[in-house]
Amino acid sequence: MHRYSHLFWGLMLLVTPGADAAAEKVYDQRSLYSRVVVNRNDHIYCLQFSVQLNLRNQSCINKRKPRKLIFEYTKMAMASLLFTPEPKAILVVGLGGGTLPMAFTRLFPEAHIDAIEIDADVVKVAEQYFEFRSDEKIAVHIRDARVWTKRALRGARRYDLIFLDAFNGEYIPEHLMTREYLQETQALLAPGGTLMANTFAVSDLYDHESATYADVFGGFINFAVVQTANRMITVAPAVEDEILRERATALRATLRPYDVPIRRYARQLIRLRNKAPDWDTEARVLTDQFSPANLLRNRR
Amino acid sequence: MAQRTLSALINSILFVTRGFETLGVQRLKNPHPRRYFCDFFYAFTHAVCRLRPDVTILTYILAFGGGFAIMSLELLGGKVMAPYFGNSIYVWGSIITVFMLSLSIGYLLGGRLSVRTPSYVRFGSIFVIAGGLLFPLILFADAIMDLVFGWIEDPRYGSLVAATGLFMIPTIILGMISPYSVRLLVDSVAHSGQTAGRLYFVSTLGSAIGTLATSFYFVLHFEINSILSALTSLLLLLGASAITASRLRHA
Repeated sequence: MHRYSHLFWGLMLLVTPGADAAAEKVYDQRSLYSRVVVNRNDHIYCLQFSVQLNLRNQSCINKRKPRKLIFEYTKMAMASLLFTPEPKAILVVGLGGGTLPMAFTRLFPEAHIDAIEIDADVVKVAEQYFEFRSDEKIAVHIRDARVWTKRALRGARRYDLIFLDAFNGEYIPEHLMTREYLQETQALLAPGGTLMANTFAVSDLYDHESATYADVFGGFINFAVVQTANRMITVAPAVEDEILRERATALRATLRPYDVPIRRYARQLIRLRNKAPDWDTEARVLTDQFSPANLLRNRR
Repeated sequence: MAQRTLSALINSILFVTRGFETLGVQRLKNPHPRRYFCDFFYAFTHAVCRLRPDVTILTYILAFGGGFAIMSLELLGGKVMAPYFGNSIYVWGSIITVFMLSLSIGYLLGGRLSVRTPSYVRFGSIFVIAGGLLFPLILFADAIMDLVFGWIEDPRYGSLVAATGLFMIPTIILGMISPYSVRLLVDSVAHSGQTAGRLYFVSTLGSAIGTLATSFYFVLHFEINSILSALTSLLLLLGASAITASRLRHA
């Protein structure tokens, strides 16, 4: 068991904005895939996929400062720009509130963004409450990500940035956590592109998932922020330390409205990319033939 | 002396397992020396040597195995198809539709086949053929799904066509087991409902256990193709035992 696990639940409750008793429920519908809830706390709206045990929010927006990123993992996603500073095509798997596509389209109005979301109700809620808009630059595909990916492989488009964020915290789509799926996604990544996956930090699944990513990508940066127990598996091109620092400094002003501590992230990434694996490297790799992710997650 | 010891041993096993008589098995009395092998085998399975009613237990075991295989296969179907068609409700809709349709056709064909000269060789052959037809699923599933995926864009109809291609034929054959086993065991009109009820009980129990074992335990430890190979082996073994029993009977 790795070092963040004991911090996880306690910290989750402390750092989750909008999860307190003052929140007012403004939307609560059972969709085909989960229960979609929107809570409003003053001018902060948060999206949840289940209210059981006050589970963590998926996405939040501050209506007075819509650019400001609230969750650590969305801020961490911006660190991808240190490795791939000029993305022209971006793929986001799992829309949530649409925070990431909106942030990237504001930063790079010319970039083409594909967002994949299985649940039509989530897209509706993102548009209604989270200021998400699809247009000629942002395309939303309401489809299973695996099916969409297989189809996309037959097309010509490749992506400079890929974000995998398809797990809502309760049920894991097991066919999106296998070696074959990651290989297909890897084939969609353009040369010099960066892939980030928001993943599980607790349970036996940590070992299996890490081993699977390591198997496909040869290695990755285990981009984890201790304070929030978030972990972004980061597959990035080799960029010298000095260039990362320069880019962080250059991005600092641009990213200020988004509240992204980009220079701190650069330091952490430089430190973390030489760190030895903290997972069981002998753990069995998940494949289409062997993918009991939901059963493994319940083991600790 | 040896003969008496063996008789005693067989009768003691029969005594222990006499509870099975509630399922319609008659105990073998005074085993004949020529049939020791058969009688010993019988003692374990209550089934193998005499076609009626001694094979009753074997028939129930086969019906159980058939039910087990059907539901285990159906559950694995979702896993097999997820990489191409996802895990959405319509994929399960396709799989369940194909299985129900195939079983209904299988019932019709199995009933029809049982009308003339029913035999345990034919009954066993159903299992052997079903087992053999699972092999293409292990070898060519990806090729078939790749073809369908390229051909049909809508994952609903894609999954329906793929499920048909992958599971329809073996499931039709597996569906033939139930009516055929009813024909083999029914010996009077008065007890026909009771016999059919027992067979449904046993085969549906097999289905329940097949579902549970596959979804709770098999997928946690084994690859899908390993489980499919085991199901194939199970069906071949069951078929071979029915054919062997019949051969021993007529030897």
